[in-house]
Amino acid sequence: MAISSECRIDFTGWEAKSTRIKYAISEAVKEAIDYGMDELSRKVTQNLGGMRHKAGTKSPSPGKLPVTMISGNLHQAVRHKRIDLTRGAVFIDKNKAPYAVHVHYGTKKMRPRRFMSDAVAERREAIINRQRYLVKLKIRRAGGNPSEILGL
Amino acid sequence: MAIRRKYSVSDVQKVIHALISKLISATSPWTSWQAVYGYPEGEVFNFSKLLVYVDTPIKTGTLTHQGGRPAVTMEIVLGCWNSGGDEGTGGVEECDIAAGHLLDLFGDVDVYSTQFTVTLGATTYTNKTLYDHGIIVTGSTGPRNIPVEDPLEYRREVTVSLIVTF
Repeated sequence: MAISSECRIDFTGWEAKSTRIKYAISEAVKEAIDYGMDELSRKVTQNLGGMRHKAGTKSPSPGKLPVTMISGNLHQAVRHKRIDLTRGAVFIDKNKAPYAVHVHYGTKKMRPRRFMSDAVAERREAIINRQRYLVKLKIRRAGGNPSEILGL
Repeated sequence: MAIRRKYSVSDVQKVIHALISKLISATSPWTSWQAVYGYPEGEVFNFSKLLVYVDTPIKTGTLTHQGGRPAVTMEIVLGCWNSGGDEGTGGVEECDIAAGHLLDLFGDVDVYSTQFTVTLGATTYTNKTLYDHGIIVTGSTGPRNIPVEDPLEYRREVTVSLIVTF
């Protein structure tokens, strides 16, 4: 009876698993970015959805969120776009509401209403937690151990 | 630790304002500027000096660890506003110098050695440092150029990240 003199090392299973997990992470990141953009847009739109008042009249709540509306253009100008696979942006359409920057940062005559930065500060932790959960879930479903891969 | 948990927003704002006011009262070139608590309202816009305003801080998160009281992370916007035109108060250069000094102040350990006096609630804390008040600076970013209406008006904002312990 001959004894085999070779020792085979087979990494195909490991490679398949790695590919599966890599794909799962890229899918999870896409989903996480979409979630972040949706959540932030929702909060920014909410910050811009105050009561309506007539043009030429003073705001009933100066310097406070939500921003009161005259034309409602700013409220409708919240947009989001994906920059690449791992980055997205929430922004205000300048063509629709060119005065947005003055509302956000204030002027000499008008107190600032930081509808964007307040939304980020308020939702940042919740968005990051949800994104972390999404990534972990996808890795687990692909057969990986999130703690080992992400070090979390 | 002087900051009161339930009044943390106004207390942090008062402490940072007191720190900047102290520098403005004693140290050059800060003496050329004027500190404003909160967003500058219409009445302070005489612009005899460049304004350094300390806006309301925003809580950005909570830091917890077993056995300890939780701390909060906050961000505070500090702005420089110069509207004296290019002749009166130094123009855009003065604004950038002020923004640079704010960035440097909160990017250096020297921020913890400045002693100042502040009243929080009914208690006056005399000659205390930022660290005595339980405030740790974790970073500063900016200056961000803020669009203004007047062509001879200049405005920059710096954001300072803090950890506030109680």
